[in-house]
Amino acid sequence: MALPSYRLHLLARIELERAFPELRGTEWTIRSPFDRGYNCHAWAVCETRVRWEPSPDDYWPPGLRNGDISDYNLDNFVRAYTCVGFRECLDDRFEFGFQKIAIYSEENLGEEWPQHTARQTLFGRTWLSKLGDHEDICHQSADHLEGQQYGRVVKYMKRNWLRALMEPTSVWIRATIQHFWYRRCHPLGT
Amino acid sequence: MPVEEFYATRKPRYDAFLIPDPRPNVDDFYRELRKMWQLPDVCQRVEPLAVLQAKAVSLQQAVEARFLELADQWDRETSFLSSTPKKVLHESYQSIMAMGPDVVPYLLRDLERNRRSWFWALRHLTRVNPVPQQDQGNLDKMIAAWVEWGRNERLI
Repeated sequence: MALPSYRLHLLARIELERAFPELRGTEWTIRSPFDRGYNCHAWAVCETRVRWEPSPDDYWPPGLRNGDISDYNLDNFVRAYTCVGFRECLDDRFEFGFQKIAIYSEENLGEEWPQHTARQTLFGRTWLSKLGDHEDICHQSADHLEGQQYGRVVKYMKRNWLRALMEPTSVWIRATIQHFWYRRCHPLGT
Repeated sequence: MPVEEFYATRKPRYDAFLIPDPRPNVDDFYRELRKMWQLPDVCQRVEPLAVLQAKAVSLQQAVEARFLELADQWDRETSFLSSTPKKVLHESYQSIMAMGPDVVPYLLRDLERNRRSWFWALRHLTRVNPVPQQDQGNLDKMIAAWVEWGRNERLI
């Protein structure tokens, strides 16, 4: 198994702020090394072992449409998150007992193409995002990643904490916590 | 007896001891070579074959250099994206696809070394997908499956 790679912290920050200008001047931190092994949609459901996407090369919940370019739409993503207990909600306001996600999308050929998903932290103060192949970051607001790369937030979803713990993806929550703690302790990772 | 007459009478004897010119005569050399091989055409065909081989090697190097240039550009400009359609529709990715099946060995090598996501290009260029369904999304297993396929096909 290939290990994730640690980049020089300052260079990573400069590169990420250049790609996401809204992050400049806000408090945001890098929480993980550079890792191509999972993507933002997987990280939104606490998964770090596989990449989630409706393509023949990635994992997608069984029973959902997968493999065609037309399957890459907002409805399919909403169904996928529904499979792991999420349901639609109105806004990003913190609700005690619920885990929220924000789906970013941009319109292409008359259809919404989801570009990114961010997850609210447990007590709702910040958001977690995996930036493509790059590092995980913790940012203050879901709006800070809106822009040229990911489009805008078009949908919020939530699931309760109990359901989050019961889902198969969260069975690995211990491994996720260990991995997260390892990242926090790494001198170049924080 | 005058000196000239003395040498004139003894010249054949001194000529016998004359040292031959050590400088090689190229024409004689090739003549002897052809005689020795008994295949006069071979000498003329060796050089074009070597030139062809050298040209093939330089062409491969040019393809690899072009591929690496495009791959780096694609990685630099799309590494923040998660959306596969948006990534594969990038100009550099499409240019790599347009290089055709010749680029497959480089894709496999880059997949193994840099773990860049070439699965979409590989599936379309080779018309096969060696990744078992249960391993979809698991990058390590997918890379291992493609590299093994490449080795079986003697591409890497």
